Amino acid sequence: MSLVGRSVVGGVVLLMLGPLAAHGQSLLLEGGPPQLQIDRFVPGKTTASATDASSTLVYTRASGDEELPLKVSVSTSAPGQQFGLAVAAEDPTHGTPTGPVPLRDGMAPADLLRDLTPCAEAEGACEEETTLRYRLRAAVEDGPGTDRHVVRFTLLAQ
Amino acid sequence: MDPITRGLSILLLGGGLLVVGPGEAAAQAREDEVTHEVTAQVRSYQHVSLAPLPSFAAGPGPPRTVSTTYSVVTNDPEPRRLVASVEGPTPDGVMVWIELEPPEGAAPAGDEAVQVVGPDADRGPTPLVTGIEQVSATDLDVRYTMETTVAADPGDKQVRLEFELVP
Repeated sequence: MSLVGRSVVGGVVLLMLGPLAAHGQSLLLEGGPPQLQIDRFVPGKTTASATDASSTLVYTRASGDEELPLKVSVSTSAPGQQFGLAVAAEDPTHGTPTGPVPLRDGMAPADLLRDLTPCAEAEGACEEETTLRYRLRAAVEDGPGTDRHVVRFTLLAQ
Repeated sequence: MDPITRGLSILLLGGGLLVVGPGEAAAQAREDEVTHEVTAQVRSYQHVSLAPLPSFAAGPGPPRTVSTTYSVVTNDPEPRRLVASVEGPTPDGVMVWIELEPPEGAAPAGDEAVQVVGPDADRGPTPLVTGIEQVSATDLDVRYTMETTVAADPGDKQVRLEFELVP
């Protein structure tokens, strides 16, 4: 292969690995930040839970028939995590929620919302949203403490 | 490949990276990824409660015993004791013993029921159960035994006991 040919092949490979941001899709968080607290256990029950639904994830879908469906994945960083935490996409205006996703420190991204198909071309970009419901669960054996999570949501091709 | 050709090929490939690499997009805020902080807190919790105790009559003679139940919860990793204290004055001639079923992992403070009212009782906190570790239990048995002597005046007598979990 000629020198010029090798350069062109390298450039094409890099183009294919580019991010989505330039194509009109985006994510935005509204409300929150979520704060969950357990302050009592019912006698006879060794676990307790608390929920928070104060945050909304807003996702903008681009228009066009040729765009691939998108999904939203979620992961977290929470060094020294003590308690169980999960998040679910509740009542999304578009897409299929996968159900509660357990959040563990250092986890690989997991699907939260799938099947985000493009808008009809005539509409332009579409703005959709879903409530984020977090659920904290702890056992008496876990003891007291505080976990601080940095939860990351990513919009990417399905 | 001669050095000049090799250098030229590196320059051309590097130029491709500058033109099409992800560096430019990474330098801007990414709209396809967002984060927020979530705080999840569990507070220290200790709780003990007793079911209502039926009133019972006793006169000079053999002791009488009544039973009820209690609940205890603690998520503190430090072992706790369940203690009882008498509130207010105690009637003359009345003696009360208490025996508590310990939750799993704990033990009674003594081999027998503990006197909490009477000549052998301390007015201060009297340990009833020790070594209570992280537990949530309910419907544990409590047995109250009361004995009166001729020194007790006839009539209704009230004895107030306070139960609490302490380190």
